[in-house]
Amino acid sequence: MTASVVKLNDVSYYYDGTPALQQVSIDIRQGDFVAIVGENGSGKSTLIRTILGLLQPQQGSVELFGKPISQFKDKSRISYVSQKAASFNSGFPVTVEEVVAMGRYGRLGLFKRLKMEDQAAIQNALETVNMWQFRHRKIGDLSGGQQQRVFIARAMVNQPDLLILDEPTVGVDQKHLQDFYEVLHMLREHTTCTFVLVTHDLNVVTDLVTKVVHLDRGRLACNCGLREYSELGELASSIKPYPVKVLVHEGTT
Amino acid sequence: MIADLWTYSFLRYAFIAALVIGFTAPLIGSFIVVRRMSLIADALSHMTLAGISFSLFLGQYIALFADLNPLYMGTLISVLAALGLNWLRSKYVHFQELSIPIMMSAGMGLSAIFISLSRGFSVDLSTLLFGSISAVSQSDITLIVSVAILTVLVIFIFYKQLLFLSFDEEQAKVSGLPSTMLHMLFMFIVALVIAVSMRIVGTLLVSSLITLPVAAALRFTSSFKQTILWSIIFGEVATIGGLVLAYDLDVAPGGVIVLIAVGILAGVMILEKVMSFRKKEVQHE
Repeated sequence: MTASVVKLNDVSYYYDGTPALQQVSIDIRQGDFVAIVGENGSGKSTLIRTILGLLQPQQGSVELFGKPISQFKDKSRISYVSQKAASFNSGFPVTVEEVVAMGRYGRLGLFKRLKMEDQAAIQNALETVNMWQFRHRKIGDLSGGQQQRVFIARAMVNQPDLLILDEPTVGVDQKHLQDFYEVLHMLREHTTCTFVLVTHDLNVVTDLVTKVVHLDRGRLACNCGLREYSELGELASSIKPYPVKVLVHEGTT
Repeated sequence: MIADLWTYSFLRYAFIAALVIGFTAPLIGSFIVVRRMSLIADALSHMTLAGISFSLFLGQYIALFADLNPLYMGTLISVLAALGLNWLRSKYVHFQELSIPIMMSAGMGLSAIFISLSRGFSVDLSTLLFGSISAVSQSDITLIVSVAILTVLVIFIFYKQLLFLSFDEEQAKVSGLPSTMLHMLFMFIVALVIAVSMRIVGTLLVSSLITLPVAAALRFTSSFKQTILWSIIFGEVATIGGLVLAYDLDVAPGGVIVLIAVGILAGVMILEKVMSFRKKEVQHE
């Protein structure tokens, strides 16, 4: 069995007494591609924010790479792509290169500047998502799909062991959605990273997903392989706003 | 004015103050504007005024304060107000902008009381509100230069972290940056810069010097370093140009400095329009 990357033990989180997560236990292993699904308000983002350490659960515990989250210090092993619209000011005067460089800032010391190896990592990340030629452009001048590629490059610039994507395609038009999933497929193929993807659209990633975590009003409704999940027809089709018909590709579990 | 610089020490002080403030205000302003905190400068400058008037009031009764530069008290109150703003923002999570009018009103209220209690002020009220060339003393220069050195050091050391925090606070936290400490440090520096800037531009116009050069730079820059560089250039043109004009016209420097900054912004916008029109014409041909 591969090593544990994220382990939640009986985690509960309440917003002003209202439960957002209730006794959730999941174990994400190295190399997994986990899709987190559920209706709006089911606790998906709360779960992600708990894993990231942005929220401290009132009950239960979180472990990252086998260590309690409070003792886990190597944050560069984890990268995160949030819902773009919620976190990005498109008027901000930063170039694509500056945005991707931010991914390296967490691991740099106070007085240290970006070195050649950092520059090489930035170039590599931008080339991976096919955005190197846009490096001097202002991020706000790019299309939604291109911006999302840049945020993925920022997330990948440290070659993380865990990549968490919280509904990364919110606000991205249909044309650029395809681009995004192509990048995701390519990353899955060329890296050993563990992926956690919050999505409403399971259909487009069924060939990537190894595990489905379905939340229902803060409770874990399903934590299983894709094949098992596809057999829970009623539960799977209850996901809104898009009714889901899970297609199990050959070779997936 | 250049010839008079060698004759009058007060002019030299004003010139040095304008040069330094023209650099530090837009430098810190670049971060304030992109963090959408522009109005914070107004709240802190009003609290600085309250501090200065409080010091002048105390100076009438306590000998220690009579000899003390009132800007010291203004700076202290500005720093405390910055902490107060943070506290208020945490109390109104969903209406954080409320912290600004609350602090601004408190600053104006306190200033009005201390000014009315101190009828024998040696400092003209318009000097406090709109700045003055003759009001800059040697001890002011010491304070202004010290704050500028501290500001440059903090920005130099924490540039990467502050940029990341300004662009994407959540992501910066995930990356392990000490966001609360950085925010407090940033607010501390903002409070200091605003307090010392008011000697030249006055309480009512400090926020203009912090934001207008940045607003002009934002129209055409694509990277953050470019924004900082152009903001400083515009800031220096406004403060030095404003000081020279104010001296020649014998008016308050704050007003002239701010009007030049507005003129720069208008010029950039007109130029932008002309360039866009020409571009369209070329494409049409």
